[in-house]
Amino acid sequence: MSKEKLVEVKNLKTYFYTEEGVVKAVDGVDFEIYPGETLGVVGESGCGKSVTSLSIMRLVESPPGKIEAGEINFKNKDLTKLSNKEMRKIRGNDISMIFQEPMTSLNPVYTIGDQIAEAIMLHKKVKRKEAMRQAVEMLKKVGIPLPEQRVKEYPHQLSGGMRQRVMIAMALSCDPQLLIADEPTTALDVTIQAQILELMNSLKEKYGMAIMMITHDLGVIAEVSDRVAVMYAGKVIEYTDVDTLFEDPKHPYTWGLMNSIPKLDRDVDRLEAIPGSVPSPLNFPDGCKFNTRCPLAEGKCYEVEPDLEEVVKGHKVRCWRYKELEKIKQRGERIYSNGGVLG
Amino acid sequence: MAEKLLEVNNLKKYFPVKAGIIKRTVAHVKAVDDISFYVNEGETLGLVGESGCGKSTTGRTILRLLEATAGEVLFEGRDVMALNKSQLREIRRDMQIIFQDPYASLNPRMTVADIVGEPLDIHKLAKNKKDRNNKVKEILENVGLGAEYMNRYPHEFSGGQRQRIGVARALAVDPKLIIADEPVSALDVSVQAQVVNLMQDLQKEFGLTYLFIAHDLSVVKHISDRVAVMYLGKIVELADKRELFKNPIHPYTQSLLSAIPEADPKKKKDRIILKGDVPSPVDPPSGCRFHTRCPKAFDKCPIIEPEFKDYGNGHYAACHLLEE
Ligand SMILES: Nc1ncnc2c1ncn2[C@@H]1O[C@H](COP(=O)(O)OP(=O)(O)OP(=O)(O)O)[C@@H](O)[C@H]1O
Ligand SMILES: Nc1ncnc2c1ncn2[C@@H]1O[C@H](COP(=O)(O)OP(=O)(O)OP(=O)(O)O)[C@@H](O)[C@H]1O
Ligand code: SF4
Ligand SMILES: [Mg+2]
Ligand SMILES: [Mg+2]
Repeated sequence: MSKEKLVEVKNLKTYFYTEEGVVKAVDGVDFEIYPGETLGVVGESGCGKSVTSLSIMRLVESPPGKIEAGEINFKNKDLTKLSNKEMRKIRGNDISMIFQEPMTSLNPVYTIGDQIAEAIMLHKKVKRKEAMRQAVEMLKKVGIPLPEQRVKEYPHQLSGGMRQRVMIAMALSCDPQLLIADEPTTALDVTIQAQILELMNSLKEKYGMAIMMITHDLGVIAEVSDRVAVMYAGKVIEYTDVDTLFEDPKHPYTWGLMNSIPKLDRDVDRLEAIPGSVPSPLNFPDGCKFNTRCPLAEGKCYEVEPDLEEVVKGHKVRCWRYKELEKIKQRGERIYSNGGVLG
Repeated sequence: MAEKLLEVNNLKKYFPVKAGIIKRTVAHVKAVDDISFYVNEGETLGLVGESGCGKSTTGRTILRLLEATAGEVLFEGRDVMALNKSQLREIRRDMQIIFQDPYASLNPRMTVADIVGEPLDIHKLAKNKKDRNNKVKEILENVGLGAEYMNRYPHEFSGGQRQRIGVARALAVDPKLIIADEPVSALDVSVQAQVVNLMQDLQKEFGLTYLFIAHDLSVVKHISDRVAVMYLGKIVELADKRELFKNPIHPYTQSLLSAIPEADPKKKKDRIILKGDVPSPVDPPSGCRFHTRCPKAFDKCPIIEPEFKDYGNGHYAACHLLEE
C-alpha cells in the first residue's frame, strides 16, 4: 500500500480509574485507515470499540478515563498531544462521529434545522440564512423527504431511521476526511439499516471520505469494510483486508465467531459455540486474553501475551498457535465443540 | 401425522390510546390484528418481523399474560380464553415463556435454587425440601450449570449463564410448549450459539415444542421448522423454512430477506430497498398494510385487504399479486 495513511493508531491504551480498580478498556490497539477507505471494527460488547473511537475524538470522560499510552496520528499530527482548542478544530472540520443512539447526540429542544445550521456555521464562515439553506440541502442529500418542512421539526418527531439520517447529515456538513460511525444501525430494523448502509456507501463514493465503522455484526462488516480490525478484550487480535478475513481467519476467536453465527445460505445442524464468556476488564487473565475460552490454548498462552504479528503480508494476528489452527482447518476439522452443554 | 399442540385463530389484541383529563379512549394500537397459525407437537415455529410488529404481544396474549381483544387460542384442543383462574394456572405448567432480557427477568434477590424452584412450589411439584433440591439440581444440570451454582445470585452470572437460568426455570415444570421471546437477542454474538444449541438439545431430549420469536432471521432460520413473518400486526407469509427462505412469495418477505447483510464479502446481493418507515399501528394503512412501502403495489392494494391463503403445501401468504 503506497497511499499515505490518514490515521495511524499505535499501541493505544485508554484506562478508567474506578473504585473497583483500573478498567483497561483499551489496552494496546493498533490500526491504520487510508484515505477513502472503510475500516470495520468488530468485537463483542465491552471489548473497547467505543472507547477507541472516543479516544480518537478525544472525548473520553476524564476523570475517570485517561489515554495512558500510544499515538493517534492523523495527517502526521499526534492527536493525543494536541490542546483542547486544537482538538476542537479537528472535530469541527476533519473528523466527525455518529453514535449508536442518535437521541443522545441530538438536542431535544432545538429543531433539527437549527442543529445542522449550527454545525455548518461552526466551521464555515456563512450567515445563518445561508447555513439554513445548506442544512436543507444536506437533508435532501441524505434522503429525507420534504426537507424544507423537516428542518422545522424537533428530534422526537422523527423516526429512528430519520434521526440517524439527520446525524449523518450533521456529520457530513463539515466535509470530514474521517467519519467515525459507532454502531450507526444497531438500533434500527433491517429494512431501515439497509437504507442507511446504502446511503453511507453512496455518500462515501461521492465525498471520498474515510470511514471507521464500528459494529458487532459480521454481516455489516462484510458489507461495508475494505479492511477489518477484530477486537477482543481491549486489543486488536486480527487485522487484514475484508476478503482475506472471511476466507482465511487466522485467530481462533475470529474463526469461532464466524462459525458460531448461522448463515442464511448454508444449513448446519449445529452451531459451533465458543465456550464461556468475555472476561471482565477488571480481571483479565495473564498471557493471551482469550486463553480462558480458547480450545488451542497451552503452556505459553497462559504466561506470555502474544504480539499482533504480521504473519502474511497485510495480515496481522495476535496468537501463539495460529499455525496450529491452520493445520486443523486444512484437515477440515472443528476446533469448537458443537455438542452443546449436554455433551 | 403431526398433532397440533397450539392453534391460534383470528387473534386480535388492541391497546387503547387514551387522551385528555378523563382519559378517554381516542384510538387503538392494533398490535395484533387477526392472525391465525398453529404449532405442531415437537416442532419449532419461528415468528419474525421488525420492531413493533406485534411479536411479543402475540406470545403474551397466547399465554393470557394479556387478555385478547378477540380470537381463539386452543392448547391441546382446549379453549385457553375460556379457562378460569385455577384452570389457567394448571395449563401454564404446560406453556412456559422465556424472556429476552436475562438481566431484567430474574429476581436479583433470589438464589438460583429459588428462582428455579419457585415454579415447583407454585405447582406443588416437590414432595419435600430434599425432593425440591434434587429436582433443582437435575434441572440445572440439564442446562449445563453445576450444583455449585445453586446458592449464587443472578448478578454473579454472565448473560449467557443467566439466560440458561431462565431456560431452567421454564423447564422446571416439565412444560410441553415454550414461547421463547427473543431469547438470544440480548446476548453477545459468541454466546448466542451456546443458548441456541442448548435449546435444540432440550427440545430433542424432552420433546419440547417452541414458538421462537426473534428479529434475527438467520437465527430463526437455523432453529425453526416453519417460519411466520409479521408486518404491522399481521402475518403476511408462513411456510416451511427452506421454502420460505428459498422462495419467498410476499413482497415484504422478499425485501426483508434481501436486506440482511450476510457475513460473506464476496456475495453481492440484489437489494430491494424499501422506501420510508413502518407506519404506525394506531392508524394502519388501508387495504394491504404493506402497500405504502411495497415496490409492487397496484390499484387494488390500498383498497382491499388481501386474504391470508394457502398457496400450496402449507405455504401461506396474503398478497393480491398471488391471486392474479
Ligand atoms: N466511563 C467509564 N468508566 C468505567 N469504565 C468504562 C467507562 N466507559 C467504558 N468503560 C468500560 O470500558 C470497556 C470498553 O467499553 P466500550 O464502551 O468501549 O465497549 P464496546 O466495545 O463499545 O461495547 P458495546 O458493543 O457494548 O458498545 C467496558 O468494560 C466498559 O465497561
Ligand atoms: N401495553 C401496551 N400498551 C400500548 N401499546 C402497546 C403495549 N404493548 C405493546 N404495545 C404496542 O403494540 C405494538 C406491538 O408491540 P410488540 O411489543 O408486540 O412488538 P414486537 O414485535 O415484539 O417488537 P420488538 O421487536 O421491538 O420487541 C407496538 O406498537 C407497541 O408499541
Ligand atoms: S398486496 Fe399489494 S401492496 Fe400488499 S404486498 Fe402484495 S403487492 Fe404489495
Ligand atoms: Mg460501544
Ligand atoms: Mg418484542
